[in-house]
Amino acid sequence: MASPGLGELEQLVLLAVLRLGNGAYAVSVREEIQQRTSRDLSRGAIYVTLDRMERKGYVRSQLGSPSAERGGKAKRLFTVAAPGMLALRSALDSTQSMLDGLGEHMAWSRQQ
Amino acid sequence: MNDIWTWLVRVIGGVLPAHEYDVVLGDLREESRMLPLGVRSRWIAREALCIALRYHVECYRDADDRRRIVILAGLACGLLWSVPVATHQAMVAADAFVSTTMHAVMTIWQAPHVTSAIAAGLMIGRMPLVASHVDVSRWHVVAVAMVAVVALHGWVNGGIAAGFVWAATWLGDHGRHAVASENGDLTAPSS
Repeated sequence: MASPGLGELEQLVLLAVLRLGNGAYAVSVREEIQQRTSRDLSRGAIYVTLDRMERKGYVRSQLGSPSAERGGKAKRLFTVAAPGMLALRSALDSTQSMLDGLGEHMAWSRQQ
Repeated sequence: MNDIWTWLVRVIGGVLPAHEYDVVLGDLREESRMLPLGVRSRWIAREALCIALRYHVECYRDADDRRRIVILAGLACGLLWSVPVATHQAMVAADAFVSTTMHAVMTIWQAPHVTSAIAAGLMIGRMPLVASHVDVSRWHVVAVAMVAVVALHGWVNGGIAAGFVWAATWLGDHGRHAVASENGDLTAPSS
């Protein structure tokens, strides 16, 4: 599942950020992954993954405007940067090339 | 009661990376808005602690960062051990020809545990060996050094020296950040 440059969680987080568009922040990313994969990831895992990927240049962040329901604190909104898109494409291509020719097995595993 | 939890969140916030504190707290407030007031502060404190712990564990994810942290801890412990030993040897040698000046120098060096603690603390805080994104690991090294110094010198002397390790690291850390800010080198703020 994972390429050397991108872990599985990093892939999930990048895909969630892509899906959410302009509204991607730690809370919405976690909810998106939870809804789509039924995986209950810890909040800490999302924060450190986003932080790490920003350091690697895969995502960019900017502070949104503060709101009253957040106690006057701003959201950190994320978008996928070009290196992030490249890394994601490379990781998904690797997965796809490993899946090629395994149609029969994958059909069997889905029935299970 | 709520005030205690609010105060606790502030304390826990101190171990979060400084640039994330407001964002994390805002996110937790947003997520907990449906919770009853009595439970809310406790929930925020618990979640903030889990997130802070995750940031601390993250320091050891990368093998290269891990290696550098271990080297720093090794150097600090080496300094804490070697300075008192070297001082003791020097004192024994100096006893043979004690002069007034030498006596004064020796008096200063009567507390090698403090001297070594200050040296180790300054090194931990100042040494650019550890990458800025794992700066928080310096405080893990401080904890190791404090335990080591108590083990080496006992509760009283060790306790005093442990305080000096902490204070010297704080000074060194501030000095390093001041220099880095002047040079514009600081990529990630200290936690």
